[in-house]
Amino acid sequence: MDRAQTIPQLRDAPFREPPSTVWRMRRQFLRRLLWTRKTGGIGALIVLALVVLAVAAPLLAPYDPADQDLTRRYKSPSAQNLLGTDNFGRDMLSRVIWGARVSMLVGVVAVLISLLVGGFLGITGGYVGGILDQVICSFVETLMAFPFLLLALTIITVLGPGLFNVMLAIGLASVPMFARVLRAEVLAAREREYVTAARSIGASQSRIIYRHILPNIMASLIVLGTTRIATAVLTESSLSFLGLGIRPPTPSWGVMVAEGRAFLERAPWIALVPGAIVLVTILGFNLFGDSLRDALDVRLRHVRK
Amino acid sequence: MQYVIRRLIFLIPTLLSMLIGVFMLLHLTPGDPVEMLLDIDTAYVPKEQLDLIRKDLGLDRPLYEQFFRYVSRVIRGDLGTSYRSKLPVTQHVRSAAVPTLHLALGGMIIALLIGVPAGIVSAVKPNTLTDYVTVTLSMIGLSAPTFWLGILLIYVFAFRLPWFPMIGDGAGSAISVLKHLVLPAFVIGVHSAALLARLTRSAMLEALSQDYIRTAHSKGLMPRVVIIRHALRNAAIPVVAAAGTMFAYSLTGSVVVEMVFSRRGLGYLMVGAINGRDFPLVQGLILVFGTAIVLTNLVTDLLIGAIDPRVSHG
Repeated sequence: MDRAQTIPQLRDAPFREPPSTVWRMRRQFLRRLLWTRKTGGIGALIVLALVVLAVAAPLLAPYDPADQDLTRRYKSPSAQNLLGTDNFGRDMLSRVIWGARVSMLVGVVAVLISLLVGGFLGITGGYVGGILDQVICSFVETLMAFPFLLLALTIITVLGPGLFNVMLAIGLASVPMFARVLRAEVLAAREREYVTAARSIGASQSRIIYRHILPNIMASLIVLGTTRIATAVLTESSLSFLGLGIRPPTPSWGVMVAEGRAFLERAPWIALVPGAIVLVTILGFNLFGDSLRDALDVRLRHVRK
Repeated sequence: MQYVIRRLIFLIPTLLSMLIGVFMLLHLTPGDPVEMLLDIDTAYVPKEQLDLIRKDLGLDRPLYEQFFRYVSRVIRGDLGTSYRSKLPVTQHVRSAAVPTLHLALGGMIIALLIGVPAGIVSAVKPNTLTDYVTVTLSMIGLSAPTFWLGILLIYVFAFRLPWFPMIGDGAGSAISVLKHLVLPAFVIGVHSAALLARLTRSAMLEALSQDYIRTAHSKGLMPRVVIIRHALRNAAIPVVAAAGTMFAYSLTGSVVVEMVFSRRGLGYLMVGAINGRDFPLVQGLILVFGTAIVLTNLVTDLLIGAIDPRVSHG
């Protein structure tokens, strides 16, 4: 007889909180996330604004970011060009808005790459254990000893510059971090009663990992991902500033700072504005990540009781 | 002592895997090393001549043999020859190491001078205006991109207020070197200072809540003595642990800062080498950075053992 028929409720009807409780918990969670520590709300606003800018860049940008107007070079911020124009007479505001798209793309894709590769390594190591785990661990520990920027630079040396290579380099450089955190989380989750319970009713390994362990380590994944987006954005702009990342004319904030540097005396806004936007971006993701961590931790503790 | 020896032995696998990684760098990179060395299109060079060069460089040998040759060369202190300048890599490294060391040390000093006092002050008076200002400033310091901060300081303190030289590393007199160091060292120190302030604050808060602090206060000791002699000593361990890591990060942070301030240090050299696809130089620099970082981590661990007798290295 099929297992699902003997104990159907274990497979098909997991225990759920009544809907009213779920909504109350969600409201409480949001309140903690955005309101209890005001910085979390500020961070969330910044992140939201960046996402809107990135998604709706073509609609929001007043001009084409690549449109050159050599009669209107080095114009200081005015009603016509809110953030001024650069050395080619391009509208700075439009370039900054399109830059948000580049930065968010790099941040999200890089984090997804490290999540996939690092997650695979960490979950395999943590769940399977044994020699495989030891090999992965020593590999990860060796790489963790080196600063992030050095790893990214090394990978860029092999890959060469360009948008896709930058995403790949930053993503791969983050792999050790993700592998380590995920491994620790899986190790902790593996010993919990619900995993033993799942195993005892004959659930397969992949089912245990995907249906039981993964949802329970989601909170730490989200927090890690949010803060790593900040690092990815910072690293992308640094690499692009050095001329080793995204190449002009793509409007990356790092490229814009590097280009504006030569005109610092004549038109300081060309270099200073995009850099300030990078600061606000990093600040937003850091604040939001911190608040997310606090809020999720509180909820985790709540559930454990 | 036994612990020191054991730690030194543990360095070997780390350094070896670093060597493998750096060695593979050249072989993973697309492109013919001979072509890169000659810096011309090899299509016009007779094949026999190319083979001769390849043989000369040992590139015709099996990979593992090339690796052993590479390792034995590195152990003898030979990091190869730069493709571009045709000078030994060690010579490049030696001349560039000084500005970078100045920068990293200067950054550390600034970080300690700003970060630790700021952390103490905000821990002693938690939830006051001073505390909020410190916490906010450290959050901003952690988020500010190095390259932007550098350019901002150049704009303010070299263009607007001509207090400091704009770029370069200063030559000749110590005063000139020091003057050229202030802005870059500050830029590299800000991030570490912000991190240190946060760490010191939480370590001090933790230490100040302990029973022995109440005992010290009730003995009638001056608050200043309690804070410095009792709390700070116990808060020092996590701070020292982090300071070591920060030095390592300052070394690599020099890559960006040196580009901003045109200081001819190791980071400046590295960016030029990556851009020029000068692989022996890149390999050598990664090895130098990596070894410096591994050694810094070792020294930090030993230092913690010296400060905190509770840490047993058994």
